[in-house]
Amino acid sequence: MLFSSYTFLFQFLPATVLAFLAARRHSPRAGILVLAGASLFFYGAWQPIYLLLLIASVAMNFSLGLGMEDPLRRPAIGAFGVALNLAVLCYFKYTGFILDTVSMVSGIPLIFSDIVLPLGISFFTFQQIAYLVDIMRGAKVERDIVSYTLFVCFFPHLIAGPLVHHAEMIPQFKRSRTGRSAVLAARGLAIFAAGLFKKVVLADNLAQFASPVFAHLDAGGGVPTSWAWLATLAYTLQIYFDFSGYSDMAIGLALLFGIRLPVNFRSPYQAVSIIEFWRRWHVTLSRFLRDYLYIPLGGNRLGKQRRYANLMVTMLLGGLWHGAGWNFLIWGGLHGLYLSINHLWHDWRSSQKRLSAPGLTEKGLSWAITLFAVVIAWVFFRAKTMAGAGKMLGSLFGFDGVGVAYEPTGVLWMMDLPILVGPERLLLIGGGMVALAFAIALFLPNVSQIFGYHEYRRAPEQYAFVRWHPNAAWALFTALALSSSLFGMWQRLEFLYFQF
Amino acid sequence: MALVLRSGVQGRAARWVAATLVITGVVWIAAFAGLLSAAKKIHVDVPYILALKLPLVQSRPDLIFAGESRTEYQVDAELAARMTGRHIGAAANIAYDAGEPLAVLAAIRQQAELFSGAHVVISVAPFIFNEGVRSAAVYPLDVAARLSVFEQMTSFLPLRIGTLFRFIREAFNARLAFGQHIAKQGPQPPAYGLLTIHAPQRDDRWPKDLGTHSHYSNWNLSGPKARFETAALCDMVPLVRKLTVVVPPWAPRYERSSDELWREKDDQYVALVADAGRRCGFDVLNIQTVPGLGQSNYADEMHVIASGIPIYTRYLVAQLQP
Repeated sequence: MLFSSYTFLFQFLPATVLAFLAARRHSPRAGILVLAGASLFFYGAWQPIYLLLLIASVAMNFSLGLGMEDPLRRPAIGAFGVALNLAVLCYFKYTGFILDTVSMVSGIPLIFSDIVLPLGISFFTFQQIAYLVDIMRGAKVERDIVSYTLFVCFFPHLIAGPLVHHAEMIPQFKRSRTGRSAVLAARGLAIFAAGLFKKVVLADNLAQFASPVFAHLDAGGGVPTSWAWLATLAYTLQIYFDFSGYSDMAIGLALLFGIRLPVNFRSPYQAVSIIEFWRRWHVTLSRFLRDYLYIPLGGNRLGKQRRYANLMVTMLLGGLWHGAGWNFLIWGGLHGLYLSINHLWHDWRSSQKRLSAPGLTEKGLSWAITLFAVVIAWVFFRAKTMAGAGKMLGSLFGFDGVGVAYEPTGVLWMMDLPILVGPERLLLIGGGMVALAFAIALFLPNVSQIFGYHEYRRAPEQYAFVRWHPNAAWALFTALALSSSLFGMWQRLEFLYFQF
Repeated sequence: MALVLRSGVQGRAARWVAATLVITGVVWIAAFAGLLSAAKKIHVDVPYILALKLPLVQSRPDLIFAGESRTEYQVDAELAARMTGRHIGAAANIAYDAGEPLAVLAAIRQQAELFSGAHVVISVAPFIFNEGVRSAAVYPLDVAARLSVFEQMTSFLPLRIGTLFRFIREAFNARLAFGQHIAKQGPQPPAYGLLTIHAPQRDDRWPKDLGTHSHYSNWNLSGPKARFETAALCDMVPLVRKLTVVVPPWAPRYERSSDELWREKDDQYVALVADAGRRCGFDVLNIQTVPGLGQSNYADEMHVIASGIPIYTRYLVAQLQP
């Protein structure tokens, strides 16, 4: 069930909100029971059989947590639990990749059946690994199965994040205060509308300029430089609006129930360095990788060389987290390299005592280099084959390469409705749409800034020049976003991050 | 909610949520009306799916099978050509799922010279005339295009909104096909337009009887469907050499004699078509059974599998008057 589907919006969500309100009147605990039940139903609506896997995972980790109350057994049970979670994740996500690689290297054809990747497995596994690791570090064990289940399965974040932390979720389920529920719900509705608009109107309409070009290259064709740039930039924006739109929808939905989820995106394409990019892009994954991988590896405490090695390992594994494939590994590796170079540059700059603070030109240049590096890395993330990625890179730099030339259809799809415009005009329109989307990503404040959204026990975002208030203008604006998105929902394009 | 409305900030927020949802509804309805109006404007009566089949008539076949799925999946134009001593390609099957006479008429008008010498054999089904059938999958979109936006919205909202969604999408697709000249320059469809269903559906999916079948539900032959579609059949007559309207049979497991409800409705719609035939000058071929076509030849209650195609085609062609 997609957030951007009629079934979700007109059946599941109203039923859940009404049931929650009715239950909440009875008691807060009844409210979270409703949410936990609705979340399991939400997951089961995809493929009921995998609901069993989710329930088993929750039950197992909850029981392991209880077992870790004994300090003597804690390290052993914790290590066992983390290993077991990783084994399950590896089985579902990486078996094919590993066997494929072994087969490729050894030349021995290995026969294996395709394993269906359960939705959201990377998210709910990582969240529970974090829980076990934190208990090993001395955090409190959760004894309430309902709160624990809801922490893992809460439907707004279950499928594609944000990656939530038990310490910021479970206390919220146990609060009895409901004093500001309507205020939160109003803000939640507006944030949800913004996310839906980003996904359905912006991301899905940009997809038409990226998907056919990458598919053509993956199939061995060639594309002219102009189309290569259009496709790569369109994808750069598509993935941002798709994923940040999903995160906004998740945040908005959670607010309808008075729950605050962590912010996942803070205008990442405004970043003037790769370090800053990773503080703005998929913030909750960065946080997880930092706290549960980079720092345990030694972080920057064991010398410079070790820091760079740790960065590379962290980003390579971060790449693999996104998908089992060499392309994702290279994407992660590139970002590891970028981060290392960025840190080297910072170190060098700090050693130059006479240098003044960076001016506008330097900042502009830094922004351009950062964005360029990010865009190039997206090529590997998006291409299905290494050959396709190679061809795209070649085309971007003027080497159109061999293969059947790309022939654009000349059909513009607006909200999945076809309009014949011709190939040349399609390129121009695509360029215009990409420029407009870039303007939105670069010059408008992000959702946290507009809505003054703050996470659990955190201060609100810095004030933006435009700020949401529950007034008539914002009601009209929200209504426009919602109603225009409803027309795009018949496209039924899945969220890109569902595959991870 | 009463508690919520009592507090100032809370009440303001709750009112804002309610107002936003109401405004969303109003904006959406206004935008939807605008989109319907645009769809009506760009709509062409030849749908995309029919345009894909029209390259078949570029070779000027003089026997053209058209209509709905019971021609699409049951009539082998190649076999028909051989049976009637024509060269291969002189017969074509341009029928498509939920095909309607208005669309065929539009195709004939678009390329009048290609149809003028042809014997057009068009199949019909109850849902084409029964106003009670409003589902998105089979509602004739050319009929929908002839309704005003107000009529469209009052007829289909809210429960049959899918029909209007399909109308909008198909209007854009049909305009695309028109703009790309697919009907004239598109690739030739395989097998002269015949599609084949390879396996019968599971036993539990067959309808219990036909009297309560969805094609006959909310039986009403006095709406715009019956009016526009029978008029389209009449309008075709002077544009082709000969027009035969076929009422194909249902699967033999269904007994007309024991299903009074079905018999009554079926007779009414056949009478409607036959009456138009008498007035306008086309033949009506009401096929209730086909010798040799058994239950095992059927994929579902109305379509045959591959083994039934030659049996049905031979019978149909044998019944056609030259």
